[in-house]
Amino acid sequence: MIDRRSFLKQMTILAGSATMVQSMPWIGVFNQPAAGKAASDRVRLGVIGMGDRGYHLAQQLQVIRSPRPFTSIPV
Amino acid sequence: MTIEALDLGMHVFCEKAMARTLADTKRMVDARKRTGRILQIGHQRMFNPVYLELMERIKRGEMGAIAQMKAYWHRDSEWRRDVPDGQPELDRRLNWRHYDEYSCGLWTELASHHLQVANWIKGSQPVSVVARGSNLRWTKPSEVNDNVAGIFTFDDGMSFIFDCTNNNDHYGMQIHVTGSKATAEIETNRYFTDEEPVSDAMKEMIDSVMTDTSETIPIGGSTWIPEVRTNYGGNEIVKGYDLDDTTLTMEAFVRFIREGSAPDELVVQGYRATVWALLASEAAKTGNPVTLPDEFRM
Repeated sequence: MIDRRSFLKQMTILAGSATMVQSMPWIGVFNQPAAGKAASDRVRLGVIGMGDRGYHLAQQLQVIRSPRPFTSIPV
Repeated sequence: MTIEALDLGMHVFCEKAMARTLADTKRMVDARKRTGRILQIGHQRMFNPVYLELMERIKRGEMGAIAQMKAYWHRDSEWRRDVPDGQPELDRRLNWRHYDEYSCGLWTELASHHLQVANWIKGSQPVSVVARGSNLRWTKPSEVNDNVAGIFTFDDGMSFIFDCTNNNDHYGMQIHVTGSKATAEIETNRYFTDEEPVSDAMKEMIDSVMTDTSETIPIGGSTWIPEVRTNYGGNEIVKGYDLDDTTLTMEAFVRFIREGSAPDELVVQGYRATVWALLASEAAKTGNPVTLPDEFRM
């Protein structure tokens, strides 16, 4: 079963492969250290277009594991 | 809106498809380059553990040469929203997906996802597309098709075949990747090696036949057997997962913001998916093969 811990392990393995560099360089971001609690780590988000998909994305933003909870503001 | 936000110094996550025209799509990527901000497009399969694992297998050569990709997306849904009485002018805003000015219908709304996957697997983009479309379901006038099909050809001759209908959802959604050594059905997390694993009992029987220790068994029956799908059920690409790839996509966006940058390839994937959805729509309208103008190649 791939849960979050397994996913991060998968990312670590892929990060060491040439495939990641060539075909999926974006997943390297999951190998960066988790953000701290400094003010500079705060991310402010706004959401434009709160229809079906926008509402769903806003919900996803609220379940992200983050040391600093954030608030999405419908625009 | 995306370009204005980028110009204001904001990072932007924009759902697919990026824009209605090739020019506007390119302007978005140009704005991202000009501002140095992050522009991420909503293609969640780029963060899906199943897709990531399969991509690794493909790049390691486990599937052999990719001979064909085929995808379909079959739905049975009504896109149209009710327009308030006495306000017909709101129809274009509420039902924008039905208007050619704003949407390419199934191409931009659905095919763009599978085009992103096909381009990603090939590590390139098509060289041409032929397509057709028709209108069988919409009960009210619509400028977009509810039934489309297209063939996207890559530079090595490989075809990515896509069809989509909004008339019946029996087959749902799937992406087949056919290699010379294995086949994958990615959406259902299945992987089929070319040589079906043999059980011990079956292996023993085969061995006995091959070593001539079994009696001859007369076989009679039909001379033609339909070449239907094999019964071999395959294996999971990954052993199940309880992660939502959209959540991972949004988490990546937040992480990119904290990093202050994102790889160019992140937006190139979205760009190529959108431009080929737009080109397929044009091909379906004209009935002619369509290629990507050089000024939009990326």
